[in-house]
Amino acid sequence: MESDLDMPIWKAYFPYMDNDVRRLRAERGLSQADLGSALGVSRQTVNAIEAGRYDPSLPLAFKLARFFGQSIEEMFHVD
Amino acid sequence: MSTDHGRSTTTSPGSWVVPGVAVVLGLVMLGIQIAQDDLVLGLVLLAIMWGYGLVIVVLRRRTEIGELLGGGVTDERRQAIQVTALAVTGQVLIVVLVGGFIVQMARGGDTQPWTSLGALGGVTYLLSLVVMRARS
Repeated sequence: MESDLDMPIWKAYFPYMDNDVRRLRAERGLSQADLGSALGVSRQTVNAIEAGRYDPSLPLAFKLARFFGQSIEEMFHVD
Repeated sequence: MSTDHGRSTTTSPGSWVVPGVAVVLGLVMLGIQIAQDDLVLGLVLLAIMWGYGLVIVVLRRRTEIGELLGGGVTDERRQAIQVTALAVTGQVLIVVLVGGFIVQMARGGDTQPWTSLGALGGVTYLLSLVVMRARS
């Protein structure tokens, strides 16, 4: 596990997590608007999550994970 | 399958509030100007306010900025954007208020408008802290 001191300094200012949402969505042939409708969020919010510009709240992360049949740990990566 | 570049598809239920307020404010401004015998300025102000409302109505279905300007808080990210934008706006206003107070004091002028607004801001901030702390 990477400690805070080992973390690249830019991550302290932009501490967003990588995730597999784009890949999982593409595998199911869904558009961002489709996924947004299923989750109750906007297409732009799905795009922001996929691009790593926005970390979803815990409830939304659970929704995403359940939608794709995965755990949160499988979908979101700290490193 | 649709692309990832489609238009915004979500509009908040309260999205008519901002255009509605713009329409009402335009009418109020027109009424005030008519009462002061300045119909032309009243019509200009009415056009500005109604134009602003119209722009929001048109833009909010096409761009996310338009949706946000219209008060859209349809999901948690947009809510976070609104809160952050309001916080930045508040911080800028605080700097302006403090700066205005100091400049006015240095000039030996009336500081009462600055102190009143500063006090209102300070009390609002304090009450917000108390309420938000109790709720979270």
